[in-house]
Amino acid sequence: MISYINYFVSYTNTPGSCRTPNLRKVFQIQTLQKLEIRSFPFTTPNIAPVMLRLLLRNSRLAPRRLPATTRITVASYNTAQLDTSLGPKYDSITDYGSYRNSVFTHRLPESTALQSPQLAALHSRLRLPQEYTFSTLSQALNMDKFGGLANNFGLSTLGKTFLSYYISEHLLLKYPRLPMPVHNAAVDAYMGVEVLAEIGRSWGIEVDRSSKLDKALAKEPEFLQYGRLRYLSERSKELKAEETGVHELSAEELQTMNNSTHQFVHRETEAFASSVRAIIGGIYTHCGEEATKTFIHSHILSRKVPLQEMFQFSRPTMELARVCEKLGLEDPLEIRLIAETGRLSSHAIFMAGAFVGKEKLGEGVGSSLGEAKTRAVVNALISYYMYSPISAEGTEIKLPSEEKYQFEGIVGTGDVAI
Amino acid sequence: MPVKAIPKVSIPRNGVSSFVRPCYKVSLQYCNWGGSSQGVRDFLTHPNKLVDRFAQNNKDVMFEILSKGGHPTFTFHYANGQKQAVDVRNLKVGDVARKLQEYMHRSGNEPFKFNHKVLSNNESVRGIWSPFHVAKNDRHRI
Amino acid sequence: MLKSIFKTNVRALSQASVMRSAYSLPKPVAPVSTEVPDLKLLKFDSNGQKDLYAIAKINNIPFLVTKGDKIVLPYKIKNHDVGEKLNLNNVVTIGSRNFTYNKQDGIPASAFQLTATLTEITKEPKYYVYKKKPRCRRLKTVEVEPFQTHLTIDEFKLL
Repeated sequence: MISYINYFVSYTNTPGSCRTPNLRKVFQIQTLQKLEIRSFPFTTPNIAPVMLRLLLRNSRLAPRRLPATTRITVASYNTAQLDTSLGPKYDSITDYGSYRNSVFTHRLPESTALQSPQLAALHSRLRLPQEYTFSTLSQALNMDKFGGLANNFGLSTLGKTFLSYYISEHLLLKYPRLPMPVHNAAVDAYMGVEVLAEIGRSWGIEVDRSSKLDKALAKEPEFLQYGRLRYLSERSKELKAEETGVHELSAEELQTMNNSTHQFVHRETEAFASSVRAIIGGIYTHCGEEATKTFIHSHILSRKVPLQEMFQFSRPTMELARVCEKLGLEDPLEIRLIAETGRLSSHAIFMAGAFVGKEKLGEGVGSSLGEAKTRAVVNALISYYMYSPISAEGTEIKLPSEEKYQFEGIVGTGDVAI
Repeated sequence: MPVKAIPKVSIPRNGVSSFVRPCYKVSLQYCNWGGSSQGVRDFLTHPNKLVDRFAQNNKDVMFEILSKGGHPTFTFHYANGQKQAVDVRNLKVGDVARKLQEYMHRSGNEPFKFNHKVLSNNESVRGIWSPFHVAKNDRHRI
Repeated sequence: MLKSIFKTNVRALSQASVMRSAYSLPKPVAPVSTEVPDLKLLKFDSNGQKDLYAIAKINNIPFLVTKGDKIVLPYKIKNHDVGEKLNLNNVVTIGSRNFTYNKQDGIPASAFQLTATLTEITKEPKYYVYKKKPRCRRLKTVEVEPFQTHLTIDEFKLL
């Protein structure tokens, strides 16, 4: 629980974070939540309770409060950054209506955008509503800041905000006990740059790679380029043949360089991801919030994230003991051997269970006593963290962004709220 | 001691609550002179406006028509980055249309022989049988 | 096997177990109309209908599916375009980890929703069949490239 409270404090205190009323509702509910554990009644009849180890000692394993410095801020999903390249001016930094760019850009006329076959195909492929104009779609594919046409920076920021809202809403309500690092990794698995770029590629967005000279020589109509993803500068388009195996990092790529892993976000990856975000932002500007939500749920949240493969415990038994302590369970945590075969052979199999009194929290099979124990404990931990509430009718619970939302999801006797 | 996370990427499931057609572009290349392009030329200039109808029925695919020397080819561009060039030389109008329809229905993935019925990413709902969960008297004794 | 036990055990601790054990089927007083069966137990046992399977029949062949699965049919579905949603209404079994509802002549369609998207119509890899006719020394070579249809389970829930 402590980590959750910390998490929300840090999350809501992030400067410039998106603060929609709905979002705040989620946080309030979350901080109110009460955690208790309910588990399977212990029913298996044939258990030889061989106690392997008595683990819980009250004095040693009292839950420690995390120091304030260990609060981890979320990787700025919600933080909008100002684009200074177009010389923005404003009266007051919080008065968003007063923001104006001093470098002039204009929007592509709809009549020109309508001629582009790529835009028509993309519009139809994504089943975008009629109100979504082709010029906005073309703008969503434009990363070029200095070409005189409006770029996708604003739309992309908008789309990112909606993505992060609906994805964190989904994760927080469906998996309320997810630890913060796993929650962040899950958000990344849904809307990280690589994932969004993969989605963009699967939508059949093409990159504009031909220079002005090539276009003139091929007698290509002008409107064809407006349906392609434009992020390459004229110079890099002319320098076509890059030496294989050698890649010169641009300034943007250098910024994303991770010094420990030596990995960076390729400019093309970033361009695809930003175009996907901008297309989502465009849905909001033309069709409103409900359509945006539907789109995100059907295209992003319909993908599968293997949440239970994303946990890494360094000392699982300690962790489980700490969880039991935190929940105030009366009986001590015990690991018992449930079944075994071939102890003296080369292929022994043991089955261990993590028990608190008569309740079995988890069960694991391994080829040694230690392995079985660790698997049992890890299973117990994962089943605790992966808890997902259901409504009183046995369906999935409602989300705060749905209509007529009210607090629900209390399951069993005095179980976890939310 | 706190839980660490292992980063993963979400698995795409095209067709679950949204479907984006994998074939996004088709280029129809023919020769204005050669005899092997006769079928494609007939297809393009058909009095029933076959190409127009194709484009109307498949608005999510971009059609590109190229006039170039040599045998006619249709190139299909798929969302997974694959490009498939299909030879349509000496085909009749109907066969040309059939080829076009057939390759637009594909996803660009490698064809495979599947000797089972269902391909699943999810773990088994009922779980897998384990000998340890059988009542002790019924277990196999070595 | 070890890995799968490790993974499936997570579900064994579903919080819904309490509700499930507390809920008892209503006792039939008069002959109950079997139009819409009471599938509450399945709902409580399936973790918010996330862990449910169905056995649906297509051309009388059963397919055990969960949401997101891909059915690979060794033939071409005619008169349907890629991207269309098909309603699989011939369902024999719906089950969760601990419970199964089975009705051999088909569960009434008002009890569940099971739809599939037609995602791909493609072909299997080409292979050759050699045909030998009696009293003819030649071996005829035939190219075989059968059609294949992919259906993805789009939505599966109890109503």
